Amino acid sequence: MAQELTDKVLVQRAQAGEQAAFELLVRKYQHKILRLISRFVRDPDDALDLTQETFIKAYRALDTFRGDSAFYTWLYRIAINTAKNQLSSNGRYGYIWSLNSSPGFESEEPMPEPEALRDHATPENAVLTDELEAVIRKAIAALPEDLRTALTLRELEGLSYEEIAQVMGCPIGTVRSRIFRAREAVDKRLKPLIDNK
Amino acid sequence: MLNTPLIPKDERLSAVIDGEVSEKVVAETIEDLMHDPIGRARFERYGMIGQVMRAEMSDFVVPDLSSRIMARIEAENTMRTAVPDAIVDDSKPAGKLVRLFGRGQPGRWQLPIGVALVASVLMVAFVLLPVMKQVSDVPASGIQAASTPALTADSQQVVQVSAASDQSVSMPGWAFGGYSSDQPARARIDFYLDPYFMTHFEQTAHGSQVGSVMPGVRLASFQTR
Repeated sequence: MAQELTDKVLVQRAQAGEQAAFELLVRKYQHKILRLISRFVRDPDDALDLTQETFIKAYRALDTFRGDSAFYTWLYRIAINTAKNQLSSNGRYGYIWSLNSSPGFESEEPMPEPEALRDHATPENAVLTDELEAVIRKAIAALPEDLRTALTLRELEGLSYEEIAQVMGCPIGTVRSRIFRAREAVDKRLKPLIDNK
Repeated sequence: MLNTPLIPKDERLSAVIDGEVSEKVVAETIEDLMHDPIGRARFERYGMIGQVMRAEMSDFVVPDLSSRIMARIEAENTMRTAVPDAIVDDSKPAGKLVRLFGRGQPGRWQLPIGVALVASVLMVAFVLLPVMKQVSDVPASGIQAASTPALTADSQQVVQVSAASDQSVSMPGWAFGGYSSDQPARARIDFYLDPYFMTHFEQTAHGSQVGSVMPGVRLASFQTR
């Protein structure tokens, strides 16, 4: 996967001792890991602690990562095991459904999301999430059609630049430019919201 | 599309996130990001846009989560420097040590309790082993129960052991390690010794002036017949 190339380079640099490289991996995957762990623990503080614990464990064990699997797959397993260990040590299986029998326990497939586990957001953070989503969706809706289409094909459909170029009937350079400009337009609205929090 | 050498610099980060550049461009862009905190924040926001579109965000967002994580890693590195060998990968069993430092971790008392248990077992073994060896390693022949349970203090301090050579040796009770034993001999010893232990214990406790001396040490004498 071409996208794994970035992770590979970041991992190599982090293994060489560059914390900024690991920081980029944290920035890239923190929300996915937090969301994953939030499925298993009710308390948002616990979810945050376990998310931090996951990345710290990954950092400690980074030298053992040989790149046989994708970095996120490796990180995903650490997150699941961290959550599982914490829950079992606390005897809190009541808050989860069996992790071992959960679909996707050993894979990256998304797991079903019981509504009972989704009421854990603190008011402030939940508001921020809502605002983020609202701002981003509003910004995307306001994009010119060609930018919105390019970004949507990339982010939602997962098409490569080459495939998007074929779909949209334009050069690859144009696709790259459209996706960049779309992101920049959204980011202009997103950045103030995050910086003010 | 991995061979695109003429990507405008502004577009590089976006293309790197999508994995649509060569390894060389990835390396150069990441090299730039190493010294560019603003670029790293943009890297996160670009990623966040896609995650929101794919509904991959958690129900709550903590804006400074990455800062918290990196601060903890920094703190851990500092601690690791101070205590280089105590902190290890706790994904392995030996890494349980780390939990001693963790807030509210269940393993906080595991190590002290474990050490105390091992020490207790070793102490019990140290005290009982000589007595057990004394009983099990006694030679089958030559057992002669002491005829007078209330022995004098001097004669009670030692056990007399004699070998086939008819030479008597006096030695402390736990110095019997060199003698071999066999099961029939053990049975005979038990047969004679068990009632004597009981009798002697009662007399020592109630009728003797030397109750502080261990009964087992001053019981038997062995002589060549």
